[in-house]
Amino acid sequence: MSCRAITPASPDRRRALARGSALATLFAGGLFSSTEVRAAGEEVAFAATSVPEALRALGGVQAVDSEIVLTVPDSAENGAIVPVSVSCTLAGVQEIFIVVDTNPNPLVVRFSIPDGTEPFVATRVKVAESGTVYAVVRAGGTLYSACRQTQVTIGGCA
Amino acid sequence: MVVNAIRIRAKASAGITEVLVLMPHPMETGLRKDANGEFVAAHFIDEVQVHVSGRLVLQARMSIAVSKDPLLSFRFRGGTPGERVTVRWTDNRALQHTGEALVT
Repeated sequence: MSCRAITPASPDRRRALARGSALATLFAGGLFSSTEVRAAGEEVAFAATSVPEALRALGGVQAVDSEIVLTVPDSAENGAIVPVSVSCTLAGVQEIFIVVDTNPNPLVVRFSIPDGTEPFVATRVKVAESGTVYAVVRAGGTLYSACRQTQVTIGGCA
Repeated sequence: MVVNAIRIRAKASAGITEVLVLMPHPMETGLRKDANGEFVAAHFIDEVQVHVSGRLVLQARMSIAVSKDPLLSFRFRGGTPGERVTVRWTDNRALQHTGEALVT
């Protein structure tokens, strides 16, 4: 795997922690439920225009994990239909996100995995140009990620 | 918009039910131009819920970057032949569509 993994840069991490404690204060005040706070972060994440920005809005990626299996074709002729599947062996998987770094808004989709559903999803996504696809998994409240590069012949932006 | 039926296949085997869902939808990004050079308005499914006998087994939030006619595949534990699988999507124009199939 030759793509660059995302690890939390310290200033970002500090900012994320600061925001985390601000949110914690709101929790303590009973203003928002955790679901509401997460939903607000998700709006920001879907509107984000870069991968770090999207991940920060989701709570920052803590670890790069080899237990995540991300399947993306090495080369796809048509960027409008790129099959992606994500599975992992982590316990307590709550959410699976697919992120494409070359798209105008990198966060493509979020799957919520209720208890009793296997940590596996497969779908087809648009990839604007050759770049990196990330699988981000929230398990036990922590985000993990894996990535793979893909070459597209015809971009899938339209 | 003519909404084509959602196609669902749910097959139970060895305690796991594998579900395949195809939801016909244009999934317009809002970034494409038509023959006159005008942008085609964004039109995409933004939420999908899958229930089995009333139990939520998958929920998804989608953006414009999911391919046209979204295809989903996932697996849940349990599921017996004859149980009802219900797929419901909502798009950014608040259109809703529901499809049903039985676990085989």
